[in-house]
Amino acid sequence: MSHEVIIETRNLTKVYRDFWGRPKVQALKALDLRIHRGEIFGLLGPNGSGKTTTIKLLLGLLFPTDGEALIFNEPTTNVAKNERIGYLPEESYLYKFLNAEETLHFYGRLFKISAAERTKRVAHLIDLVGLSGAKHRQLREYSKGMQRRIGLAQALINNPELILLDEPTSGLDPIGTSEIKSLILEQREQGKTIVLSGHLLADMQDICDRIAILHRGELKELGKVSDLLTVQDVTQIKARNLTPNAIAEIQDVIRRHGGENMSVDHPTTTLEELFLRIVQESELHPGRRKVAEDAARDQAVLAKR
Amino acid sequence: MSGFLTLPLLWAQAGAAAPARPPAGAAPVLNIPPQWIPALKWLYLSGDPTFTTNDLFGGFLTWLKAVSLLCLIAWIVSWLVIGVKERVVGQGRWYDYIGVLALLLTPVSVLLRVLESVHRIPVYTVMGTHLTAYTALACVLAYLIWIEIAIGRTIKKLGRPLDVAVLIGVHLALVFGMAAGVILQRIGFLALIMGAGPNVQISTLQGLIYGVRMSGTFMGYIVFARIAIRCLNELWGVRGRRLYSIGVLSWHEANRRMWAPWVVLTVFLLVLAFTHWFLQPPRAAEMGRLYVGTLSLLCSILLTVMITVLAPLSLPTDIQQQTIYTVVSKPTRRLELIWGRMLGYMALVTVLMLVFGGISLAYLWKTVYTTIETTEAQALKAKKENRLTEAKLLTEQAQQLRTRMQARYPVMGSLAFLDSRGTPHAMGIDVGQDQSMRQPRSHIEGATPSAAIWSFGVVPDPFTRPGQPPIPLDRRIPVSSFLQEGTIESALDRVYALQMQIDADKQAKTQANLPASRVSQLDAAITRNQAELDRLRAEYDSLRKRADDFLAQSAKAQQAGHLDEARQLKLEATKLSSPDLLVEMSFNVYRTTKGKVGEPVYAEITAVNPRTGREYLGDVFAVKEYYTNRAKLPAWLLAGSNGALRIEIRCMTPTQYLGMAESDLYLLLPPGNFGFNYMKGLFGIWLQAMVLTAIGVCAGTFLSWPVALLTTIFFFVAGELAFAFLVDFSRQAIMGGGPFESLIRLVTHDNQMSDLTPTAGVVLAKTLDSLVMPLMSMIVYLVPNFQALDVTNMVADGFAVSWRLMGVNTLLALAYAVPFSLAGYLILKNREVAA
Ligand SMILES: Nc1ncnc2c1ncn2[C@@H]1O[C@H](COP(=O)(O)OP(=O)(O)OP(=O)(O)O)[C@@H](O)[C@H]1O
Ligand SMILES: [Mg+2]
Repeated sequence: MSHEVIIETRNLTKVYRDFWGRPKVQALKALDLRIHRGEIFGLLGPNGSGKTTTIKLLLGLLFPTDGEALIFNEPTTNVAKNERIGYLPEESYLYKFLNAEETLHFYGRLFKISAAERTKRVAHLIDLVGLSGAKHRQLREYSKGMQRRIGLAQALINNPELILLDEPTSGLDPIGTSEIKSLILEQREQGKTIVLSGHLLADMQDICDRIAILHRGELKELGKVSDLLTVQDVTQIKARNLTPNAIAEIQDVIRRHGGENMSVDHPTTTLEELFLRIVQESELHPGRRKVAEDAARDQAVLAKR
Repeated sequence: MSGFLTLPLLWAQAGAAAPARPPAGAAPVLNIPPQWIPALKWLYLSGDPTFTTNDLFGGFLTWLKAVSLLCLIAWIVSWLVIGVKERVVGQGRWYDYIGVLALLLTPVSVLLRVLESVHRIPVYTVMGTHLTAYTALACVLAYLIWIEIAIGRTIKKLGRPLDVAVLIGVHLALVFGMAAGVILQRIGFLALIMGAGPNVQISTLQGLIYGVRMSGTFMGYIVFARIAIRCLNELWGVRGRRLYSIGVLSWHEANRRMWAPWVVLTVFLLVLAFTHWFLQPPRAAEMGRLYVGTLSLLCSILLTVMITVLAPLSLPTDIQQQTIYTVVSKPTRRLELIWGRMLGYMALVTVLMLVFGGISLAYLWKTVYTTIETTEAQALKAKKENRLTEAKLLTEQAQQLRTRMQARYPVMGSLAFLDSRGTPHAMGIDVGQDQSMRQPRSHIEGATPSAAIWSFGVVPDPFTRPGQPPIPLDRRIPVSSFLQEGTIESALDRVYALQMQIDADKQAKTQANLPASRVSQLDAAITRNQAELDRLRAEYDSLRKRADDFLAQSAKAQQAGHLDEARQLKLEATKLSSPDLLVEMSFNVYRTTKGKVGEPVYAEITAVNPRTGREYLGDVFAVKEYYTNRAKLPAWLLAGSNGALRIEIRCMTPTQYLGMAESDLYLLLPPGNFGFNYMKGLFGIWLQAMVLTAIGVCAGTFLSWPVALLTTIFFFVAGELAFAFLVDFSRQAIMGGGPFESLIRLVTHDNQMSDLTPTAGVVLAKTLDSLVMPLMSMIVYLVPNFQALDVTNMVADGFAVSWRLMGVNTLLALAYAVPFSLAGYLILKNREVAA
């Protein structure tokens, strides 16, 4: 992960309006994000929290009500930068009357790729997403998972530097899910930047470098997965084959040093817990919450002084 | 040209002033230095919304002015909409109340005006001006203030630097136009173009108003430039591969989702299978015309209906089904989304057109040509069996059928008349007969020196106003197409040409004080040409001798009874001379009571080559009414003509009148291939489809599919069926008033001419009309003239569609299709595809 910023949003805000221009939903509130080259960034949040809206804003499919977004330091309305971007929409909205091969050729021709290279990539991608057997069938005959796979293939047709995946694993079987996960990790190895949204927390926890948690359009948490999941005031001691006596002794030592509420349970702190906690807190105290990275930045500023 | 010529007409109604006349030849009245006149003319040409020149450039200029004005309106409306939607205006500030006031005041002021005009209220005047003029002025002012503030604030808040620049530019254009108006008034130019007499003064206020009219055009140019820059920018990024890719997508979509081509093809074949059941020609000779007309109409209907359904559905479904997300998140330009679709559909139309064209031609071959052959066989049989009248009738029938199944190239002359005293006129006698023909016909009187003269070559326009230098018309005959290479006449033509060259050189030599070098140059040319002339003369003589020999031998063979040989030899002789010139004429006869009904009226044709003076006295023939008379002129008339010829028609029967218009007599070039011409006719339909595609796709960029579909249908119907009506409508030339007043007339069974009693309902209707009419007449600028693009009538009449006409029609189609597609791009660019 380098420090080159690939995506930057400043005060990004989106209010959905009705026909008369009256505000209907505030889907995103003043989002500030910086995503760096080579990281896997996860957008988390409950349903309707603004994940898809964020991605659509980044792609210029929606225009921000306020603030701005830059990708590769370019405004989102600049079409040329799309040459380096791959996008998998929330549902695979594809042309049902094309077959898999035609679909990939159609999208491939939109990029500056030679015909020979395109043919090669199409064959490779169809193979990669495991659709070789069905490549001549029209997409209207595809199952949901198959459509998801071809959707993923079209997002990779231009060998993009930045890949935006909106719930990539929805509709996939466990094997498919793990295949996609390893595919995403592979892409990172090649230096790609990946932004994914989703609510399958276990999957996100496995692969994301950093995550942002959104709730009702507000950024509630942002930081490294490892940092967020480390509970600072809890110390875990793990050991094998301890006798009850030994445990009692250790408890004694801890008590002597002022430790309290000691538990000998197996550790269960997961992204899921974090997520649930944040959502609960947000329901109780709506409004902007100081995210982990803010705190880290504050500390860094303090340290500099 | 017709299409382009309608545009200035349309535009002319934009201003209330009388149609402007060119200020030619009137320069001395102006009190400015003469070197300023060209600049002045350009200012006038570019600024006056109604004035244009009568050529292709003029057509372009008119187009530019119309598009610019639409750009200006769209620009204003879009900023107002943005301002309202973004809550910059319409929030109850003082200027918003002014806007509301203007809205309320408008119907009131129109109502007052109507009441005044139907004499329900007296005419109040304040300081010499009608009260209603003041209310109208107040309205306009209120609108102006509101629009000015609303746009200014919106651009200040949301606009980018370029938008601010455009705003400033528009204001500068306004000031410039007004200043120009006042200057034009000061130097007397306005008085000139408004046709005011020497005593009538044009006031400064009128100058200012005229300036505002001009500034409308100038402001339009500014917005147009802004939009053009943006479009060019986009154009720069357009790539063929992406257009192709989206084209292929649309092609597949039409094929696989809509099944469009298959449906259309099936309907075509089904209709074709039953055509001969319900197509009964009124006269046997009309069969070809009817079939050709019907088949091309069928093609036209099927293809345009297909496009009307396909084009407006495509983008809305793409947006609705969200498939567009994956496309626009690729480096696809918005313009490519539109043009790519047009490309795909036009490819489909092209393929279908070729298929339909091929099938139609095969069908015509099978039906019409078979009919011609059987008719000819019947004629032959009748002749053998000595039923001569019937044979003649059948031959004539076959002849008429054949004529229509050709691609004839008429060569038109310029028509002028001699009256019964032999003095020349642009028009003949008007006998007050019904003039429902394409062109007004005027008449010549029988058995007098009066004549109709068709002149070919570079001839002065007979309609040039007296006292003005005549405008030359190019009506030259393409001599080389008539005189074939290697024939006697062609050799003679070259002899003449060379002789004239030599004469001209000799003439040049007689000029005083020529430099010696020039003289020797001329001498050399003369000797060289003289030698060449001798050679050509010899060639000509030998050709003639050969022809005479063949004829003599033929005559001998005939006497000896070797008929075959005689015919063969005669054929050899005819091969040596060019074929006769064919002339087609269709005159009508106006009978005075003195003549006998049923007796034919006779006419005489003579032709002169004005350059060589050689003359041909043709036969006297009986005028066939409602049919075409044919005459032959010898090819030698054209030798040495350089494209010039004069054909004179005289009526021989006393007290009868022969009526004619310019297009009633023409020379016929050797006909072209009918099949090819038929395809050229279909190209007109192709152009219609292109315009319709642009409209459909454009509508789809911002409307849901049902609305987009209706819009496209509306445009098609309005352009195809109601264009002429719309033009009349927008020029307020419809009898019986606007839609609401007409409704009243309809309900009350009042005729269109009478003045309605000014009841409350009538006043209301007139008021509504006055409010609606300006809006409705705007539609005229948007609705394409589909009929101008349709040339299948020419094909059905057996006339060739010229390349020039096709070129002009292509330009006309592009003049509509390009702005529509670019409008679609601008809309698509400024909308959120995911909202
Ligand atoms: N086109 C639209 N018009 C109006 N409101 C919309 C539109 N699209 C989304 N919203 C609203 O914006 C909010 C955020 O929606 P968004 O689709 O971004 O959520 P999400 O985080 O992607 O949810 P999910 O996990 O269900 O996909 C929701 O309240 C939704 O109702
Ligand atoms: Mg979503």
